[in-house]
Amino acid sequence: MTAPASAVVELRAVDKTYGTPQNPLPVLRALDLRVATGEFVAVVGASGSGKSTLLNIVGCLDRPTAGHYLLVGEDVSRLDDVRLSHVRRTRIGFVFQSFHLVPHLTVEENVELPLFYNRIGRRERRARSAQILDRVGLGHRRTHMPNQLSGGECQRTAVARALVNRPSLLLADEPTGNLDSVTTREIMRLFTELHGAGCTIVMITHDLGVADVAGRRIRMRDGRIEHDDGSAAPAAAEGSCSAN
Amino acid sequence: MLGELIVEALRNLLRHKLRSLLTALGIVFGIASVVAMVSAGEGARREILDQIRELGTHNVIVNAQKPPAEQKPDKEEGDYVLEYGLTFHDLRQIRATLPAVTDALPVRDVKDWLWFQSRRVEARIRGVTPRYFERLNLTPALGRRLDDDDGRERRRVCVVRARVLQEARYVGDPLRLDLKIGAEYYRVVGVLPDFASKNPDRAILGLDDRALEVYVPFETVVDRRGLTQSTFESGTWEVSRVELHQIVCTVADEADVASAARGIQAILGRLHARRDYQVTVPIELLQSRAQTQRTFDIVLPVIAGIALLVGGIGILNIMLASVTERTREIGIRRAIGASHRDVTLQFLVETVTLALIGGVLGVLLGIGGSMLLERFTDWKPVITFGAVAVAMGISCLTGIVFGIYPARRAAAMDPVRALRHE
Repeated sequence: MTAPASAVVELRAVDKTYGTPQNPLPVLRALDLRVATGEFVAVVGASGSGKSTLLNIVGCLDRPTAGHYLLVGEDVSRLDDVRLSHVRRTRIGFVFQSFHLVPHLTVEENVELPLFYNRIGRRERRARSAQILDRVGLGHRRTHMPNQLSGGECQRTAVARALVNRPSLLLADEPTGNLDSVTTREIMRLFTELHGAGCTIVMITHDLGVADVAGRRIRMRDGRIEHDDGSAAPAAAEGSCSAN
Repeated sequence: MLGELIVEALRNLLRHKLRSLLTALGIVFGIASVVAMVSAGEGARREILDQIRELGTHNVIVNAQKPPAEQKPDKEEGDYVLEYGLTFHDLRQIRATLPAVTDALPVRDVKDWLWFQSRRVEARIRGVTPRYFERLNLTPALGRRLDDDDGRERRRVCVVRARVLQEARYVGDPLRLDLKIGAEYYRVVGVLPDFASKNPDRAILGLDDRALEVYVPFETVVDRRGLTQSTFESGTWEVSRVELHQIVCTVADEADVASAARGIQAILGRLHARRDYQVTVPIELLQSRAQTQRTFDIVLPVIAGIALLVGGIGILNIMLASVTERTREIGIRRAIGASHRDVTLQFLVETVTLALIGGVLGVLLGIGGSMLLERFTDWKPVITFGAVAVAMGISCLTGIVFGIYPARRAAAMDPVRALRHE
């Protein structure tokens, strides 16, 4: 069961049900989704439409109740915690609405966390975090604490952290939800640049203006994909989201 | 990896200094009590050992004993002589029949007055042979021991305890003092230091901390004082005849001490109609005292265990609260790729680090406490490397035991829910 090499995400008839067996609460119903390498996908939909659950499953934070999920050709729908964690830290970068920086670690330490869990030595971690922070324009903020940063800077730190492992897939859950319009544009410009560099991005958003930046829009409703405007040609076909 | 986790743990603990300190306090006191108790116990053990060594582990000591419940027959008082104790014959028999006993030394005690100008103090005059000093490790602080010539020539010389000089209020050169014992003068040739510590077993040797002791050559005592002695007791004069008050037997091999003691018992049992003697084996005392010590060895871990249980529960409690408080951080770490094991390890390392800090503080406090104990009581605690190592081991173990559960709980959190936690 191998997907075409160009698919980063391939969901096949994925169900996700919460609640008890007596009182099941289906969130995703027989969902199929294929995201090709280099695509920038925006997922929109009302709250409760299942888009966050979709993102959690795609991000290997959660496992589907039924169906299969192939990430870069590997079926990850039944992996145990150790392997799933490994997939998360090698394949996936997360950006969250409320940034989710560890408050008592400096900017560079936050960025280095994924490398730490990848057992990468201190010196290389420092070099790579410096490089990626320069890339997102935070080279001068390396030793600051998150509470000394503006919202936009926090989110750029989070993006740097998501990218530092050169993941196959960048996932963003309302990345601009807590930002004003100026910083929103700033972050979206960063995303566009990353996309341009070949990064595969799946982003949840409420903001249709933000969604327009993406090449492909998916609208969800009641755990199903209601509308998918189809795959646009990826900007470039590259395997991972690298810093450059 | 582990090093960085420890650094991270230390940083986390330092962020909440007061909380960490208070949490570690249980361990601190637990470990401090372990260290203090172990060192006090070790001190007591060594003291016992020293005390018994003072009696000589190779020795068997036979003391003359006034037979109990001896009613005076209805005779005229002047005629009656109370006869008891060890005899020269006993000494000869022991020397002749027991090859294991390499040496048997006679001791004869006389009570008499020491005169200092017109003041008099009662003293115990012990007639001893030169080897007596060797057998009981009596080394003069000043001057010399008695020697063979002193005995052979029946010299009137003596070795005294330092107390005697104090009592005499004598400030000159002790070795020029002529001590008046009864009606005679004895030249002081040596001064023995006073006993450094209390030793309840010393009485077995017939030594007494409080008594003024004067050692004179055995032959001189026998020659000048004879074998009978009159003492004025409870309103009547009592005349007693005791040849020897003590025989100090020495056995070459420690392993033979017990059998030699049995041999001595057998000989004396045959020669004496009454129980007017007592055989004491210092090494057996050592064994029975060590037995008593063992009670301490059982009580100690129980108390330490309770103390550490309390400390451990304190740590458990705070770590659980800390895990809840840091739910979001745990979610973030999980999302970034930390596995169950990574999170478990992180919190476990933090708990163990906290426990070890508590352990270090506890050891320091315990050492301080032992020093206070030494200063203000007559205990002599001994802090051993082993005690410190055990204490650190225990605190590490406490950290692991009570850290496992909070760490597991942290790891078991659903990352999705943890991320949403406010």
